Amino acid sequence: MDSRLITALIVVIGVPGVLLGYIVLSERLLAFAPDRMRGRLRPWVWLAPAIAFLGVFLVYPTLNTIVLSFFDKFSKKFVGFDNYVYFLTTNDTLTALRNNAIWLVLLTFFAVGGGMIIAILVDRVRYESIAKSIIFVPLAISFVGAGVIWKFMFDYRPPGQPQTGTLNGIVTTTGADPVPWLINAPMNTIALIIVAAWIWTGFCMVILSGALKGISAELLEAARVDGANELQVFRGITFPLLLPTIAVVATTMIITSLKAFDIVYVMTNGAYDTEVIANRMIKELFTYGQPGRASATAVLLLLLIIPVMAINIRRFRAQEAIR
Amino acid sequence: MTEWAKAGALKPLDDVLDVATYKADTAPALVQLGTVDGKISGVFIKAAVKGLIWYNPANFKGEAPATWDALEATSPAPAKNLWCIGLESGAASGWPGTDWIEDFVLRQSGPDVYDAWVAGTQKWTSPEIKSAFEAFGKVVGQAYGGSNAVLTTNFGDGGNQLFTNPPGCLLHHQASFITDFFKKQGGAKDGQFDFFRMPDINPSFAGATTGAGDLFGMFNDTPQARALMAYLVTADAQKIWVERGGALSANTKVTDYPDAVSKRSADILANAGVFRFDASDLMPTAMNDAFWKAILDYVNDPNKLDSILSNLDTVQASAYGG
Repeated sequence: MDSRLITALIVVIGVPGVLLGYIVLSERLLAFAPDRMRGRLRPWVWLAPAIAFLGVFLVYPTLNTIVLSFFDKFSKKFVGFDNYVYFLTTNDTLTALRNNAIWLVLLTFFAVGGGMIIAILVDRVRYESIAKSIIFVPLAISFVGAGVIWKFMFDYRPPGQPQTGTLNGIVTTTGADPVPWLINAPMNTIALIIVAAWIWTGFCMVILSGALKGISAELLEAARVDGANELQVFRGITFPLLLPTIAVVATTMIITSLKAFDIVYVMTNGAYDTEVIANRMIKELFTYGQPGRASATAVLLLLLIIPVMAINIRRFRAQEAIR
Repeated sequence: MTEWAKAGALKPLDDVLDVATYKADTAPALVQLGTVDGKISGVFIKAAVKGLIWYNPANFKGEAPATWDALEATSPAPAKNLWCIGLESGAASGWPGTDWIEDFVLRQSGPDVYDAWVAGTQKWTSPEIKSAFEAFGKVVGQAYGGSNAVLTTNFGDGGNQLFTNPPGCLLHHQASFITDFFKKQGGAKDGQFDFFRMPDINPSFAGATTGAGDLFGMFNDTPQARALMAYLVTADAQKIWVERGGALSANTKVTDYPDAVSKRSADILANAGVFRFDASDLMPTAMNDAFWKAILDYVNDPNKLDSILSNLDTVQASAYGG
């Protein structure tokens, strides 16, 4: 029999079988435990496989990365904080840090702001689902694909030659010279952020639109009956009620901008001052062969993301408490 | 390759190949380049000669200038600009510029400075390297479309303006592989392009040539890998790419080049007075990557040359050595 067929059989029948076996076996073993202990032990026994997976694939690599960040490029000699000092004193990495800050502010602003405006605008029109689908479609495109598409959009040809880039095609019809969008800083970083916003606005829109639908119609009607105009309804009711959702979407966007990589890698690879931390991390590890520096970069990125996660979790808990 | 061979990851090929035949059949410069600490660690499947200057015989009818100064003084007519340059190459953007700098370093300052530069002992801020950058800057100043076009044009499209009417430029500097792109991207036909060797600059280093190649090495010592390596160095194997056009064989027994241009570049490869492998390809990857980026930054803003070069010195200090 074909070995692939055997593998498929093992996966389809074997994996659920092992899981079932694990549950049956653990219940048998639990039967031996004293009655009182049983209730306490059971959740841990059931959780054990998941915890083991998390440990092997998440906790261990994280800890190992932290350890490696204190070692040299052969991961043998302890070098203290050298890798961190390198990150904080090198021009290229500092540029990356600055650009991630720009990404964080602008991408969050464009995607969340744009998503909210669109969600509200289409909320009461007949062709809402079509409009939303069109905005949402880019999210289905891979980031690399989006980078390639927008590279064509931003394409530049010398003045006088036919412009193959859509944007420069438009610019030159007004008689102006074509603009090298991806070369002049800081415009190029903004151009990259626009690509990311093009992808993520649909995501923000869908979630915010969902929250918008959740606001009870009576509440809005009551406000209108009381004589509030649409702006007052938005400021007094819709916006405050959307706020928790905006916070969730915004934190997602902040994390996304800190992790920004694919678009930069495809479109500029960090040239002309467009470097970002994640691209730098890849370069340090795979191009420069510096696992220590790459790990230090990863740890710094993690440190930047942790507060955002903490705020997110705290907000989630507060929300659950209200419920 | 050197890094991997020294780390023991690349297996030596001395007992895999028929060494006597290999050495007799292969261009000596390439045998030497594939050898690390006396052991054959890599073999070239195809090679290219760099530092060739291409032109369209319909537009450039003069003789190949004997010196660089004479070449620079050439009138670009009927084109407006003397040079066409394309530096864009995705994540590797900038590399065609490194070829320019390498040709300038080798021709201005000679093989000793070149070797020291490759080995990381020649500072980027030294007058020799700086003057190579400045010479390249002068070329960019005479390039079609200015620095924006130079930065955004893909290297494969770099020479297209040679074949337009009226032409955008007169000359294009690129390795021998570019003929493939001339035909496919530029719509050129055989006979519409020809080349001369980039002229000497300092007469004491006359005949110096740079080149590049694709190298095969063996990471796992299996019978299949051994058979493949032994096959790859033969004339039979190397003929395949050569007949497709655009490639030169490392094996000197291969002579059935499809056109005169390939044949002449193969002669330059086999008979180079001083032959040096592409410097940026020999540098540690971190240095190479920074070099590419430096080219882009320099073309984008030539006034930053000093800070660009001192940044390269910083990379040099950490990229080499243990």
